[in-house]
Amino acid sequence: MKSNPSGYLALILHAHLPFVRHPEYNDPLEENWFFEAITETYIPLINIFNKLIDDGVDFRITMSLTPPLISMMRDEMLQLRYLEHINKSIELIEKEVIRTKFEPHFNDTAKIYREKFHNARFVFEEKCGRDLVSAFAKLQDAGKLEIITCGATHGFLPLDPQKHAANAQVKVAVDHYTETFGKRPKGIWLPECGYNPGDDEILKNNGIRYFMVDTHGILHGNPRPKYGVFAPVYCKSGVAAFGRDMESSRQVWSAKSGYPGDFRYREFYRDIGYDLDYEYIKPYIHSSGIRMNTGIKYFKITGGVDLSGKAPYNYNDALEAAATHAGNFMFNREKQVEHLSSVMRRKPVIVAPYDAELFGHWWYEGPYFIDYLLRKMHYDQNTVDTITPSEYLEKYPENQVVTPAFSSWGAKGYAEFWLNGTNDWIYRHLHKTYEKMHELALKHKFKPVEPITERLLKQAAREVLLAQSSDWAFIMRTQTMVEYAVRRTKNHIMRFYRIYDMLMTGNVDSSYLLEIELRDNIFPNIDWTSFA
Amino acid sequence: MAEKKVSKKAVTKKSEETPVKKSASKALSKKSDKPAAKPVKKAAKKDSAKTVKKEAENKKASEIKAQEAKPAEKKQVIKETAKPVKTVKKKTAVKKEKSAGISAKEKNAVKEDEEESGVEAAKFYAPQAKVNELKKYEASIEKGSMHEGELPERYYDNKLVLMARDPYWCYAYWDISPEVMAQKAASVRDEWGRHWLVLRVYDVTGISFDGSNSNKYIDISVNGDANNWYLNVWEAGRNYLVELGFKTTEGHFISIARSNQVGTPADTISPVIEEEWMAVDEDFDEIFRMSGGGKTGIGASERAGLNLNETISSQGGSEAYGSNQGVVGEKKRKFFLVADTELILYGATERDAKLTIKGEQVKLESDGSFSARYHLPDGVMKLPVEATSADGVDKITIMFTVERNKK
Repeated sequence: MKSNPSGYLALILHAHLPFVRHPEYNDPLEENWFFEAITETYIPLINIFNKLIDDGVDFRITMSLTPPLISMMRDEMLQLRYLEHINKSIELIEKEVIRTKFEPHFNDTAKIYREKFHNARFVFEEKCGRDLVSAFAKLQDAGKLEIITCGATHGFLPLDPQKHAANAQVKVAVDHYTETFGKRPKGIWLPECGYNPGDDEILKNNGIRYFMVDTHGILHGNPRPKYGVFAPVYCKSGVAAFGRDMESSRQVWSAKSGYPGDFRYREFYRDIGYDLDYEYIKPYIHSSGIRMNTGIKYFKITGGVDLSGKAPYNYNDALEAAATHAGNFMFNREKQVEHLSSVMRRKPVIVAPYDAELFGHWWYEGPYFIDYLLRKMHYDQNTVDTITPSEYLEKYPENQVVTPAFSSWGAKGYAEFWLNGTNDWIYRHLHKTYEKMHELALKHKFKPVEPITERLLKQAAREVLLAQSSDWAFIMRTQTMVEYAVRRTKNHIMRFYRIYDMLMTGNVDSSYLLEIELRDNIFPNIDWTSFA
Repeated sequence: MAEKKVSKKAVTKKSEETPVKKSASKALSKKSDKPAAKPVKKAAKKDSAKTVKKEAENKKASEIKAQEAKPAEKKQVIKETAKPVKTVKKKTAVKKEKSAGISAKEKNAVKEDEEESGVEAAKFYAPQAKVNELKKYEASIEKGSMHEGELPERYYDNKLVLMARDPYWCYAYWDISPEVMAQKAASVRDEWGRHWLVLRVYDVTGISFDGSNSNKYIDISVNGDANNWYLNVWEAGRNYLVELGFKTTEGHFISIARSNQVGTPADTISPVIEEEWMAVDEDFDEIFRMSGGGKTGIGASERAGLNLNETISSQGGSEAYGSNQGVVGEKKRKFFLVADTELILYGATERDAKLTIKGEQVKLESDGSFSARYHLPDGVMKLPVEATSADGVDKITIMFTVERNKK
């Protein structure tokens, strides 16, 4: 850590994917969300953080690894499927290196992919023993990375008026974190940054010290926050809330005015899965024959042209852009901190949270941006130091008491993205499952339960939580994989009802139960009394 | 990245639900003597929100910037009031102002929000395929019997649930059984003749609602076959509650169902400037543990202080699962015993001393006393209590060893 910086930057990466695991299918398209994120985001981040440590660069970064993501990373079947996936990618890129031999502008890029794919397999298989979670845990143990938790299945807490499910979202997540890392989480990333006054009580009851809210959650808090978003506030419960800084967010988030829109960066939507001859590419797209992304993309954003007019990608130019942007980002934080520290009676903290998958998956060069940024901050200046929220709280245990306002980081800042004409129909059913699960938990909590009842209660709790993932409502709204999201919502609710009936009538269909346990196998040790 | 695939097309409702009424604003403006959301005010308020940041920077709390109206935002708000769903994506062009300063940034915030969602949506990308191609995929997946059937159409639970969506919109849904509807309608008809269905929206900020003491209320007519409604509420940062009921021409109101209460967020900076500060130190963890938290990773039965293997036999051994068949209530005799142990460790030392138990610092009360509470499982537990004087010279350690055996 720097000896006397003027302020701090808290970089926060929210790593999340919904629990997508389908042993009942051979080639579910949606599992690719996870596989691509491994190759393009998680492994590059692990590599970069480790390299920084090896090079003696001091840094702090905070990551939320959500319970579904951890569960998927730890799932043997998905690990095997990822290996299949990366092996196929390697097979394809080897062909590509040959195919593009006489097109140097593509061939160079192909070779970069070849190196990266081989590295991904090596890191996954050899270095991590297929367990990416342990790689992140090691970084946490090294004191550079602070891992925080999230809602058990990323349920959007403000849309649960009774709070039974909100309570379970937090409790189950904290239990799962503790099981995984051997200690309780200090912080939580509230799903979608969704906060409603009073939710902090749930966090307090689970021993959580801090969470993040969007800018207006702090600014519109009551009473008026003296330091705006540049210092945390305490809710009445004593749990700290950190507010998102708009300026640093926008620079990175905005697809147009932000860094990722630079013309030199890689274009996400020009993928050889769509571009190349069908017979050639067929073994590497979806087994049903529909074209899909392969992760091999040879074009850059280029600018002002449609997809067909894109120019070839140049990796070195793109890395140069990332370095320039990192320098710009650092310069802006220095200026921001200099200004703030001159008017605040303490050192400001700039909280900059992003979706982790933004880096690498969407913004291909994003991980290198982080790499350059952390290096430059370490070597080139002394004004701003990186910090984790919990370290900041250690330095400044006294903070203003402010109740943040109901808010989220979704479009328009509240709950509209998850509550509109495309998805509002789900809530009458979701709420019904919370209500029934709450009844079940109360009914059985104080009495010994038989093993089969225990299994049913656990599975019921899993189904309620899985249905609650905010991702389903999100997808319904963005209109991407709507059918899938609708189906997932309905399936988990219906599975819950079937199990509920079994519990109420005593007519247990054990083969059905077993089948569902095998499919929705998240949280093997779930504490169903979390719903009581 | 202009081509990023976030569909912008208007969304059509696709579910088995009955038609949803998207907007209540027309009814609102007619029935209410209270003004609906005031767009101009809102736009102006938004401006003042920026002053917080400014304040942090300038430290001049009193200096509130002159509130200029912002035409672009105003228009947007008005549109939203009129037709919320359609305008969701139809953004009035919020002009980018390059002039530095926070107000320009916030103006763009809404637009960027949308971009962010687009970026986030890339996580869940769908193949860029035509409909018939996607069908091929769906068909290939079909055999896995993913389908669990359709959701129940109705629950008939006679409940009315209210959810806050943003500072100016709430959402209510309900499911009233035909019997209750008929009964309520009959009682109305007997007395007063013509009637219609309304949602009565009460402002219950700061009061304990008894059915008649709201700060104010408005009635919004809803279609007889509707089962959900978006409500445009008139003021941000208030608490609301709704009742579904029949209203008659003479103004009588027969309540059918009452909702939960929700709070909408303030959409501007708080007028309250009193400062209260709090210090939360590292003892937080200890306090948490002492209040019984942190016993994670244990099964539900253990939570109740039970060991499954031991307790099941107490129910009469041979009972196989399924013995509960048909028993919904809990009338059946079920003798059982739940017992567990906890340990309280307490004492006192010099007020300014430093005290640790098991190496973890414990916060002393103002008189120098302390107490800590632990779960006491089977086995041997060692509890070293160590006090160190403020100057670090004196140190006393007491070692407790506790053993629990369960038989």
